[in-house]
Amino acid sequence: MIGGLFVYNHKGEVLISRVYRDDIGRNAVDAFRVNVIHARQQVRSPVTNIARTSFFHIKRANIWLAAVTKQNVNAAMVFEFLLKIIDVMQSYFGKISEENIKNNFVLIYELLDEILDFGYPQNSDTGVLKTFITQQGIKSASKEEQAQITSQVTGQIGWRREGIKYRRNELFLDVLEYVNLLMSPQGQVLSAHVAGKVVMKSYLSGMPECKFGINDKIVMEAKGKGNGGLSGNTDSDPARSGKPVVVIDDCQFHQCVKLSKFETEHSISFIPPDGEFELMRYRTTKDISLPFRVIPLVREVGRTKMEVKVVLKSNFKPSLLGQKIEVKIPTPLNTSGVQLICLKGKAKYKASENAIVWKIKRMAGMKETQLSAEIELLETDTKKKWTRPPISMGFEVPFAPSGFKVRYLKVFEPKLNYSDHDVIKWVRYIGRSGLYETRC
Amino acid sequence: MTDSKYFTTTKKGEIFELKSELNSDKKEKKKEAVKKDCEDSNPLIRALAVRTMGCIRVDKITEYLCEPLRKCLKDEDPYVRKTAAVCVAKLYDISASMVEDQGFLDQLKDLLSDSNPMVVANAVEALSEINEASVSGQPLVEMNAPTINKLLTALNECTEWGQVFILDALSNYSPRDAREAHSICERITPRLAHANAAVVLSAVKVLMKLMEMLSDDTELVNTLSRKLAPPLVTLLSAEPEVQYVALRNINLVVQKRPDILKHEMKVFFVKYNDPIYVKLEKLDIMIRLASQANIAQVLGELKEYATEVDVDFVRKAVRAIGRCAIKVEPSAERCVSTLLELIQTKVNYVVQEAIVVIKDIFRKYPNKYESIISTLCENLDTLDEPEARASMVWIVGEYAERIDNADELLDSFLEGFYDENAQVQLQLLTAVVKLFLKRPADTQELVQHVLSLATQDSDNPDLR
Repeated sequence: MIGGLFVYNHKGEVLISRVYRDDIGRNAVDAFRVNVIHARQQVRSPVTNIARTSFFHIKRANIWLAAVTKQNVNAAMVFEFLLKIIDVMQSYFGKISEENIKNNFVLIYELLDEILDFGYPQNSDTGVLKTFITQQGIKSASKEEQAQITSQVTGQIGWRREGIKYRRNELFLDVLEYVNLLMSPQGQVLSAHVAGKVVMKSYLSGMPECKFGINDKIVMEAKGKGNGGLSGNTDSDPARSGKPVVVIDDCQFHQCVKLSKFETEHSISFIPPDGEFELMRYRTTKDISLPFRVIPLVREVGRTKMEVKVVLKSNFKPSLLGQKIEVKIPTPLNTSGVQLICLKGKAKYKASENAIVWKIKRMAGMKETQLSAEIELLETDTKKKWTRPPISMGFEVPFAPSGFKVRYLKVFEPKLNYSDHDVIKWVRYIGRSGLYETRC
Repeated sequence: MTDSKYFTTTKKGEIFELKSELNSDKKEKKKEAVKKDCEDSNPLIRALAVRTMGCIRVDKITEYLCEPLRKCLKDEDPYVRKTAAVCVAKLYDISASMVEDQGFLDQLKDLLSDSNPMVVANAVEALSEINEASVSGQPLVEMNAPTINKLLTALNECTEWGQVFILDALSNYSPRDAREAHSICERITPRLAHANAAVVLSAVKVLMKLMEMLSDDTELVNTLSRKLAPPLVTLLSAEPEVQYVALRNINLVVQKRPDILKHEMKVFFVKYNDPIYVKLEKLDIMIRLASQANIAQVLGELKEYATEVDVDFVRKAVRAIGRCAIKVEPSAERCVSTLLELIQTKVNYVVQEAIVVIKDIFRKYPNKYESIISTLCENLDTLDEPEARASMVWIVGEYAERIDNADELLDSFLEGFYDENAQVQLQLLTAVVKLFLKRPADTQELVQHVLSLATQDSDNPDLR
């Protein structure tokens, strides 16, 4: 199991140090600093082995977080746990920074005590931890409250406490998708996939059972067959009958979802935690509607000039607007100056990033615009050809590129007197660019 | 190790008193202090006391811990019980004999049947660690079928870390027959949809092991294989460190059962911004999955990678092209032409790596690609790495009859004989002799020259 946990700042100074096992000595702290943080070359692996001790580290925002062990530990668990610690810290005091860590070190040591007992990860759910590890001193709780806290920490429904009440029962569903694309210079899609997640913010009273329905192909086909049998219609293909479906390759759920029910009937049923949480993550690779198409044209004129023309086409309903559009066109390292003409938006050459950054605030669907640039190059004598990095794009569109649609979310709370109809429900779809690249 | 535990917060204020009382010399006082906190009405305090107790590694105190620990293992509050389970593991670390003598192992085993899943999870982990650390080498607590059943029931309701503990313990268990293996598989497959990558990977580990037992039932194995592919692919959208661990595991899975991921080549294409460790692992897997069906795509990608910035990565990409040529015979032609293009780029390490790889291709497909030998000879001067030079020498020796000036080429190598690496020297020796066998008349002096160089002035016994 995890023998020790160390947190360093970017200079290598130790901010937090917690050792759980005897076999981790004092010199482990220094060994990591010397061999990884201050090593001359860049990091070649997140796992380092020094003198039979394994160091697993992640680096986020100038802070190094390292777990140390001498035993044969489950590597995936260690990394997931380190990521979880970062989540918990962010939930308590916001941004991870050296200052925040120094100001809250008592809290961090308390948290480490609770969630990593003797090197074994324990319940690390933020909602639950906040009920009994608070930043102020704990007020003496009554006996019922204490029992409630412990039953919640160890309980079956460890993510929601009893007795929650709201005057207005509301829930918000955000479908956030990231479209990832790799396109060849000739316009052929080399690989495309959508990584999506459904974030739910629920303000519901009691312990409501929720059922979530989406236009997943497997479910729709089963429904189609059922209806077909009744009405004598043998056409059970939902796509043909006009209803769009999404083919989900793989999905993963929050721990509150009853996985066994999903396995048998493909239905998503759960008791949600109060407030905001990530309900599910999914991935699709088929039938993705790519919101934007980038067509690059690069021409090298001799050794001192390069002409670049980039056409941008938007490929969605004209009534929708894409926002925060940014196209980043890489330029060679020996660029001396750039002349730009763009029909829409603003384009600037940023020497520090070696790229032309073209920003368009808003663009409606089924539109086309272009940018032409003349890049002047300095004379160089290196024979090495410039490897053209791909053109990358950023954007935000108000629909789900995978075709994912929420069909229903039903709420059942038998004990209290509000029904599914009384709950106010909001859904919104946000499609963002992940790694959206076109080679040129 | 225990210094950082004693911070003042109102909750832990009580522990300060505990410490001061323990430091006193009076035995009675020590006993009372420990007992008092373990019997506090607040379960949070009781659990905290148990946890702190386990961290005090002073021999005198350890004996006094046994009674309170025994009580806490049977406490009515599950939070206290779960902390007590971990405390037994701590105690084992301090004094293994005490744990065995005082019957804590049996109590831990009883906790496996506890109604609260978190208690079960902690008990499993404590037992697994004790088993591993046991001095005699034999597991102190055996896993049998009813225990496994209880673990599987708890699996559904634990936190994510508890699920990882239970799955890891399951991976050490060997089911008696195929039917039992089948039922365990059914209960574990829902875990593949969990958000935590460690749960998914542990589930995959158990399933891979159980699939061995089910190898007779091919239909079942196929169903399971199809279920395993999507979660493995999804793992590659996680944070880079988790991706790295997942890729290392996928490498093993692909070696054992290549058909699980045979259609998913695209997923392993390297992205420009991946960290170097992820890129190297993805490349390895790409080579393993290369087949006649996807070789065109793969070669296209490998060519792109060979123009990247990182030296290690580019070398590996070039080597990959060679391995693909050897693995997928119909593609060898295309691979060779790709390699030739790369040599034309005149980038030093690319050329050297390409020559080493071409030598391997010649060995596998003799007499097929000789037309390119002239191109290779043009680049002779740029070679400075021993492996590349040795490969070049081998090629010259092997195809000596096609190369008109083979003797001149070898002669130029011989001039710097002593500066060459031992590997190159050995190759030179072999090559010159081969040349002699093919063209005895012209090369007699050459042979005598090399033999004298090798035998008289060299220190290397292999060479002599």
